[in-house]
Amino acid sequence: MGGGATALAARELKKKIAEALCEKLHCVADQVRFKDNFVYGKLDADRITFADAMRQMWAMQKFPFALGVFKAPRVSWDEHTGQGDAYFTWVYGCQAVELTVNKRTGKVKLLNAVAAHDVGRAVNPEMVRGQIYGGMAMSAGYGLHEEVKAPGGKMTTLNLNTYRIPRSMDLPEMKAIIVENPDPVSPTGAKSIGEPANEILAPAIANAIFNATGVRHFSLPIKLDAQPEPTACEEGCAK
Amino acid sequence: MKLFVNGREIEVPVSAMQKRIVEFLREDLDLTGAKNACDIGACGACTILVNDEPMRICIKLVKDFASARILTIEGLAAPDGTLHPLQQAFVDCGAIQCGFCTPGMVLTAHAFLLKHPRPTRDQIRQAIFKNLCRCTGYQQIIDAIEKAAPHYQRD
Repeated sequence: MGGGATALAARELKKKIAEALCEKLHCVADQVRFKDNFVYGKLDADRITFADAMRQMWAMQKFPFALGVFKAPRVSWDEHTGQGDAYFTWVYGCQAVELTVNKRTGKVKLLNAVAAHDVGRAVNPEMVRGQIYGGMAMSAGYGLHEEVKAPGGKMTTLNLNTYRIPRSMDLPEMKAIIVENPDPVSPTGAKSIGEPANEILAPAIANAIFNATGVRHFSLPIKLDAQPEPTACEEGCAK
Repeated sequence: MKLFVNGREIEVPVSAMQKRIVEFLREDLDLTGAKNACDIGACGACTILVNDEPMRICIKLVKDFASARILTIEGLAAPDGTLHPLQQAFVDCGAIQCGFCTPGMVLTAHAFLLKHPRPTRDQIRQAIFKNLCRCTGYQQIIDAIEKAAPHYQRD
């Protein structure tokens, strides 16, 4: 929604900049184009950098500001019947993880992780991937390690030596798949990715641990008990 | 006492000897790349290179660095501001989000690549083990270091 308002404001802003600078770019306002940090006139030769454009507007005392208002569409959700659409945009996503559980030490090692997310439209694909990788890392963190301890109400997790966020070696190679499914409600077609990417690796880890051990865990971070079970064939029949 | 910071000789006043080096760099020399984040040497955001070795400096004093050759992130780019190939790779690969870990991460990677110009991804992962990053999941940081490696290969 913030993105919607921003896009509308940016469109207004472009109009203002075009009107202010079209004369200098030897064209009419409709012909002004914005590309790769440059402002172009009708001809490719008529171009100035964006920074220069801002300086010229400043010199003319024309200020680059605009207001954008985006009103959320109505939803049909009915609190009493529990029916209808609760939201106007849906983000779809799926993450999968491969891991091993060391039964003796209770340690979980992540081997592989892949995520596919419907982001609407990927405005900046590299940044979208970054958000996905970062979300998966955070999710792995609160799924397996991160915990604030406050025995007797006194916080003992005070710094990064006791609050264990994932280090590079804790994480596997990750793959991010961007699915573009432009959102008709959003002015840019983009949905969101920060939160969706953050939410679903921990459940995937919980499911993988269930598949590996047969035990369901219902609280995070997941703690597996170390099981001392040195058996005769430990080396030979590992896994 | 003298310090050599980014190729520049710095005469340290006696009054600053007991200051923490990270504060000296940030406040007296205006080199704000090294961040004081955890304050206990756990996160790596304060990493600089001391005689080409990455070091976490948030718990160290100025007097510990007599005659040391120090490189901060400000000294990595060319004097005209052109980014070092490793910095450019970080930009190109999307390896930067909030940027707080970036100076320490880049310098750690720089020291690593000087010694290991043909690393595997696993070796890169190990090399940045001591630097915490909250945003990126390290994936694109590792991509960037891998991408920059050929610039360190001499033959």
